[in-house]
Amino acid sequence: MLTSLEQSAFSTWLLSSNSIWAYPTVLTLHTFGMMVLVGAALMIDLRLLGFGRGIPLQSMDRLFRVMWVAFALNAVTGTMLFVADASKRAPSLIFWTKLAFVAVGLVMAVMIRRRNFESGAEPVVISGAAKRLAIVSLLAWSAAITAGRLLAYVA
Amino acid sequence: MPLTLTVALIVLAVIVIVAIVGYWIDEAEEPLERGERTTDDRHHRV
Amino acid sequence: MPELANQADLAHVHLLLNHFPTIGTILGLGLLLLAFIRKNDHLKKVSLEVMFLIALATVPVYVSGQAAAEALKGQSGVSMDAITAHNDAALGSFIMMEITGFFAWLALWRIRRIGRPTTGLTYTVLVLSVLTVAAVARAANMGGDIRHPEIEGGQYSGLFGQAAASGGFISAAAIKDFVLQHPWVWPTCETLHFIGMSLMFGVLMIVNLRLVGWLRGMSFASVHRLLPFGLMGFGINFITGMFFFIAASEQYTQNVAFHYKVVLLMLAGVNYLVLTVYDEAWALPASADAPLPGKLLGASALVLAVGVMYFGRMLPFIGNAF
Repeated sequence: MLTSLEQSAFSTWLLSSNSIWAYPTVLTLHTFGMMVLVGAALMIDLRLLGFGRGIPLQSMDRLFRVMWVAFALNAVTGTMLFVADASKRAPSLIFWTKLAFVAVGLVMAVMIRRRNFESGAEPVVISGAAKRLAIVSLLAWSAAITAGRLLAYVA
Repeated sequence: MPLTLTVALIVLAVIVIVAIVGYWIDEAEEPLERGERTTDDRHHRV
Repeated sequence: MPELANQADLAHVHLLLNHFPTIGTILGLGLLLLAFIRKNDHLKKVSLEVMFLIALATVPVYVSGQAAAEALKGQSGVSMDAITAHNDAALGSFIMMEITGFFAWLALWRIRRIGRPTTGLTYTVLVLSVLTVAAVARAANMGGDIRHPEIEGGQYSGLFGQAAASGGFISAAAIKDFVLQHPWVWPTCETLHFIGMSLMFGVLMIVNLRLVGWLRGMSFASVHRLLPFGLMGFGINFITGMFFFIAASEQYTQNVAFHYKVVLLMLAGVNYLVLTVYDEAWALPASADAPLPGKLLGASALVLAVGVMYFGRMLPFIGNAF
């Protein structure tokens, strides 16, 4: 099934098309999505950890929307990249590790939003629990990037 | 040491360094409460 | 992609731009000293801005220098030893220059925030500037030894000897060896390059989306406080980028995507300086919209950063890397 994915018309187009609009574009969009998604997450994490304390927490709420749009972009481009190389990626431990870390990052974002933003009230003091979520989020996204980069080097 | 572990440890070290330097720079900063600049203060600007 | 410069152009660019770190740093230091003597805070601020901009301009100086070295390879009357010695001295002075630029920026950031220069930071920049001028002067003198037969036999030519004898503390060849011999270095640098890019873009998003008006309810001064993190993100990418460049310069010097990346990086650097010192933006309280120039500044910051990322990602596809 994996080889049939790889040999599909889509995959062949993606990998062998000389057009600048194929594989390099998908890869660039994926990199862009990562930069936006992780960038936004890091800003929320930094604020929760006490940096930029003049910024009202609630004013950062829109960054979550930014994160979801960027994630959607990366889910689509990521699937395309996976399809093009399915038989190599599917059995790769480091690939699934990356997805696991991405999942952790997303869960952290959901939890942070639910507990600190949904009420709409500005907290007087950021709770220890929120700070812990921020640290886990920061580490998870860094680990996801690390695993993603290591895909090119490790089976 | 396996490649993955080496990369991960160095990345972690860099994160810690950035956090420490960032904290140090931020803490040396005056609290915003004392100095939120408005147009009234602009004649103080250098 | 239209070519910006061929190898000969890049060698020429090096000869043109090297005046920034050589003459520019002396002028910048002179201005800073004058500012101390005259006890003039405004002049101190201007000197710091000058030092930052020169540090920015030194980036294309270093990379074009590499291209110039490649252009001279094999030419008669040119000593590769002299080139290597100059390159190593220049690398050391380049590092000093960028450290000075970082502290100059930090000093400007604090001046913006508290309204006046702080003694500690300004003196730090002064000391670093002196060291940088000395290091650059040494490197520049060694540059003169490469192909100026008219100065041979003069008292100041060959003053610092060849690389090993001159007591240089850094060697491009050693760095290249380090990267090539340890398989963990390149993937680590790539990973850090992506993390640094995300940190930098995160700060750029929050600051510039506020300027543009899509993010609301926070004063500009409050997001301004995050700018050091943006510069640290850039710093990580600068350091890892230098590892890439030194280890595999041939993949970059002739790569048109790299040329565009460096140009956009310079523009982004100037943009970042403006964000740091911009009066009209600083005055914005939480409720206010930025004036049009502020919105344009914000939009351009984001566009430039995406452009830098784009050309970086396209290095193997547009150009000849890898």
